[in-house]
Amino acid sequence: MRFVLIGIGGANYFAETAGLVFTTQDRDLFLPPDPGNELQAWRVCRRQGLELWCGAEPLGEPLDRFLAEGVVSRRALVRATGHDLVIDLTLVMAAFAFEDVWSRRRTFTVQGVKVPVASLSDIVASKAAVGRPKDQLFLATHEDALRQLLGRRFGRED
Amino acid sequence: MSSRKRPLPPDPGAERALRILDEIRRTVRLETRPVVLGDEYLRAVKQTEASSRNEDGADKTWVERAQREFREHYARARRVR
Repeated sequence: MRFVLIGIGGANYFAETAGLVFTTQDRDLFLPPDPGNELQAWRVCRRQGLELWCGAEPLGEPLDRFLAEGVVSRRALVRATGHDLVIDLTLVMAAFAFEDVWSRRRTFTVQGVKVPVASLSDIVASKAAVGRPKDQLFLATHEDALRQLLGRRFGRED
Repeated sequence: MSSRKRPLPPDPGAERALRILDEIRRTVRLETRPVVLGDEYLRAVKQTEASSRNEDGADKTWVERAQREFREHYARARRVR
């Protein structure tokens, strides 16, 4: 199964100190537009006891290729939820195609498990492209945190 | 996108705050606009990526542990007044 961790959860892996870790409950996994891969992701989540949602509705049964093709063709977001955990399986990352992000990924290790993570440059650029208030807040805070860490002054052009 | 919400404790203060936030959400238009990132910020991002602590295979277990501890810490928070 292919995915890359994106969003704040991904950016956190590049933190060099706990002070640069942003609190988030969500994990955003960017998946390729491949129904077989999508279906595999759902089954892994289900095996882990997570519930699958699409919009306000349960994803439905059966989890099969027909359903996966419908979700992928609509680029719909599927959310997997469990105790203290929310995983968004997204087929969209603003300004980026999956294969480009995949080619620049970094693979980190968490408790012995390999986790593919989008490059910090891609995560930051995607947040800048979307520009929701929460993205603006993250970028400003992240910039400030890096400035403090690296002891440098930054100019902002927005 | 919505999903099941965790039930909130029966706290009149919290309920009032949520009503205010709902009102703000209905009436205030949030501005979404692309952000132009400064060159120095982008250089710092590259510098961070190039750090030896962020090489392929680096162990990031501590990041997950830190996040869990943050969540547990804030979950224990109680209003004092």
